[in-house]
Amino acid sequence: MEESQSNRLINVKFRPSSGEGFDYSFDPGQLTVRQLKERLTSNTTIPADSMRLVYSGRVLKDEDMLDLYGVKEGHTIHVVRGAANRASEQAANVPPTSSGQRNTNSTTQNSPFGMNPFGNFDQDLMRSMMNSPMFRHILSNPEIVRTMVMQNPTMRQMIERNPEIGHIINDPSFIRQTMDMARNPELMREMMRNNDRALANLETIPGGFNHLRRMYHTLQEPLESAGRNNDQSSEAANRRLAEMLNVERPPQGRINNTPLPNPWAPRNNTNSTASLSNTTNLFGGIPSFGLMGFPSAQMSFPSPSSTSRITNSTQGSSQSTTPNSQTNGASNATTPTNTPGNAPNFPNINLPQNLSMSTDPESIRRIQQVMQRYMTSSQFASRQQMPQSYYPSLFGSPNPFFANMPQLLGASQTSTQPSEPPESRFRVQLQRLEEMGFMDQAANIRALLAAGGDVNRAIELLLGNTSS
Amino acid sequence: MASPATLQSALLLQKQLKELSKHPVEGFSAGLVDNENIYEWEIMIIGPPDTLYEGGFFKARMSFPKDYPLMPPKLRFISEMWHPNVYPDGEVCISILHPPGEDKYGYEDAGERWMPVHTVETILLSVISMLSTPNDESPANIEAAKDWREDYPAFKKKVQRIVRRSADML
Repeated sequence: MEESQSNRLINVKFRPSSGEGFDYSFDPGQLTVRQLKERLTSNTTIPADSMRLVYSGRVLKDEDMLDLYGVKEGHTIHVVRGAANRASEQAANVPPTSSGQRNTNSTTQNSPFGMNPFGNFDQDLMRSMMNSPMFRHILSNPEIVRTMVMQNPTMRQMIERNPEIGHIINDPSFIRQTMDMARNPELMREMMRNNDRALANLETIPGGFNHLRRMYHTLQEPLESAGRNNDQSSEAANRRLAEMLNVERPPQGRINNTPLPNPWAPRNNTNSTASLSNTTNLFGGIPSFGLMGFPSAQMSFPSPSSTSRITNSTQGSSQSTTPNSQTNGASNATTPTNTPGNAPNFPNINLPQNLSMSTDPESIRRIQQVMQRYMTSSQFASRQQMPQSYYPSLFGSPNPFFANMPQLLGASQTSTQPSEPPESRFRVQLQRLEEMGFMDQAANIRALLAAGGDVNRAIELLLGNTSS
Repeated sequence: MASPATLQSALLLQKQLKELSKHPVEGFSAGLVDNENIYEWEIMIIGPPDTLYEGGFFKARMSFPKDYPLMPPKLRFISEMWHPNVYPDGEVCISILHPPGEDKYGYEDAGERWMPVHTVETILLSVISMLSTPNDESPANIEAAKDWREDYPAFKKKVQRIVRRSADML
């Protein structure tokens, strides 16, 4: 085998772990691995010392001849940077920085602090950074830290609006403590545990809950709304929902014993009916209302752990207990259910009649019938291009959508004919029909129009047509 | 050796081996332990960049059953390994290597387990992804999982040690 292969150049592809691959021709009978590596240095940035050639599941050894490994024409050899003699430094330093850098970059985007040490950070990176003399020097000067924080517009805005938070930033001992904490994960963990316990204890003290709530309003809310980039959409959505449901804000500070509004009652508010006639708006709003598992409510708590880290750090210096995720839980306790976050604004999401309705199969069926009839008549659902699969999830959750049914029906009178041509309106449905083998597009559109966008009904109609 | 099933698996593996040596996939290199035996593969897994395992070269053996691809191969690290989803003896525990049918672990979908469409390539890609994101819900190495969850610095230290050793072994 050696004999036949000697004096013969073969062309082999080389594939470095980063950068372009290249071809190189050599004679495997004449070359040791080491010699090959030295020839390859011109093609790669890897020095021969730390170059590793991997072929067929093996790392090629420097002293071996290449034909020992049976490298053949057209095959590929991996070229990787090995650890060489500096194994320890490379293994210890390179990976964390490269991966950590990316982490911090992504957190800066949405964290209230310009360089938030408390987001999803790489603890080790953080620690090594904090321990560097330059950083220590910077951070030992509270003035610099303050300027850094104030340079972030969101932070500045928040502090201007909430002087209480400004105090924290101005407190040098707080900053020092925070930095200590960032430097030492053990300390941080300890602090967070203490904080959690303090909050848990606070709740059992008479009046403690109110205190928690107050803290929540003064600290957590501004912090979060600052982090949210003034995103009003969920609040606006809440307001719209509350309006549609005839709800007023529950009285603050005492038990809400006003009777729940009757969602079926005729509306006396003409304004809202007008807005309801715009069914697109109504439907488009529904997902953002967070009915399916309350996504919007959760959005305002993008990462409970990271917010709790922020607030926990606040607690570090002032020793005043600060709200964290526990507070969120506590404020939920005011509502009859465990809906997260901003649910207190509309506790009637789980109206009893809604609940019973959504669990009673009979009423679900009836509502489905009503809805189907309704859709057939006004074709409104098709305008939303709402995937049919939405329905199960709508029906599966206790859902104000039901409460809106009368208004929807009322609104159907005012809803105008859609301006979009049916081809684009029913794009999704048409595609499905075609996949099922209904190739006559004109007939499909006709059926979809008649079925109000319901693919199943359209199929029934199509089949009925062909059989009759 | 001449039974149809054996022939099929051997042909399939032969084809995959040829394909991989011509067009290898980023992150690993595969060959045979012994050129006479197509069922025992030698794998070199290159520690994926930007993970704790970067810089490491981990040797592994992949043993195919004769009824491959109906049944999954076994993958075992020869190099020392410290990872929540690798048993202390080196055997890799990922769902796609678990045989189809009865679910002895009780938590996996059939779709997550072995399917004949999997190849050496898809398995190794799963392994590489496993290296970058351990699944600590079904740990094979309890100690490693505990470290990973509760004492990350210690976990990291141990991984760095095995990475260093694997590089030194070259």
